[in-house]
Amino acid sequence: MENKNTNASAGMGGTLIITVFVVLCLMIFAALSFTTAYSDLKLARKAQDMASDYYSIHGKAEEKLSEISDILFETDINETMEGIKGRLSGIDGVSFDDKETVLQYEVHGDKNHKISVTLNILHDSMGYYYEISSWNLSNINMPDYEDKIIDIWKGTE
Amino acid sequence: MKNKVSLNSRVSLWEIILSVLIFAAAGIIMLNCFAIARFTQIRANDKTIAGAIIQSDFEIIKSLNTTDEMYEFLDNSYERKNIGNNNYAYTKYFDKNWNQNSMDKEYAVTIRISDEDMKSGNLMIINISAEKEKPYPFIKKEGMEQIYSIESKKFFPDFGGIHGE
Repeated sequence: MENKNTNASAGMGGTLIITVFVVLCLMIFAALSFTTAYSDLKLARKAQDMASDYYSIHGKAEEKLSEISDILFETDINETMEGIKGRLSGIDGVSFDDKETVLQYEVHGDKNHKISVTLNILHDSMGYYYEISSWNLSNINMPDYEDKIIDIWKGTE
Repeated sequence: MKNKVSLNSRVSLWEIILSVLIFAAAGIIMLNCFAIARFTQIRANDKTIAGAIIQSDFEIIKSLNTTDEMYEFLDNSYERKNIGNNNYAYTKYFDKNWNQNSMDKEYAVTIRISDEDMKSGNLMIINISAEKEKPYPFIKKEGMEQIYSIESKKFFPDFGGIHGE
């Protein structure tokens, strides 16, 4: 009877390979979870910057409104509209519409935001006062779509 | 005829020690990475929630017509603290789940108001900020950590200036 012995060496280096594989997998998971969390943080920071910019320009618009209000408050009832226009035009960024009693100003932010304000200058027996006609938030630069033909799906084949 | 197959698992002690060392070293880095990821996610969520709370309260203040209405809103919603020179800070506290709670104070939202006196009204400089009582782990900072802060102004006219439709 003949005995045949076959030696199969499976252990040499196997443990190390499995360890490296497991470590690599876990490293990838750790990196992915950190990347996801950091992306969320960046998004939250971006949203904060936008909100901060909006409230900053809102504050500047309110400040300008208070300056206009102060000028109107000090204006004598007998003063002509020309005189009032001259004094109000002294405020940076304030302009008048073709209609003499409509005043406009804009406040620009750093994140492509601007607030456009339109005021009606009115007067009664007590004196001059303003009425806010519009207070709009919009973008400074709009994207240019003129040369681009966008193929939009119309809902049917 | 008899065939014998003997599986010779010759795993040397050195190999096991090396594997354990690699796993331990990588484990420390990985655990740190997972922990940093967790607290980064918490920071991101805190920023988002604090932003929503702050903006909501700011919009309420913006919608009010007089300083009396504003102070009434602040007195009803916030705790008032004198911070000197007749200036007040209004604070409300939240627990770790961002539920308003005065006992378990984890987060604080504070409104600081200063009044710029104008001839025809009051220009209020309003700063709203959200802070965390304890700093986030893995970030070496002492004291309260600011999560979110915005500053703006609101003019309350004494006369005439009315908001049209």
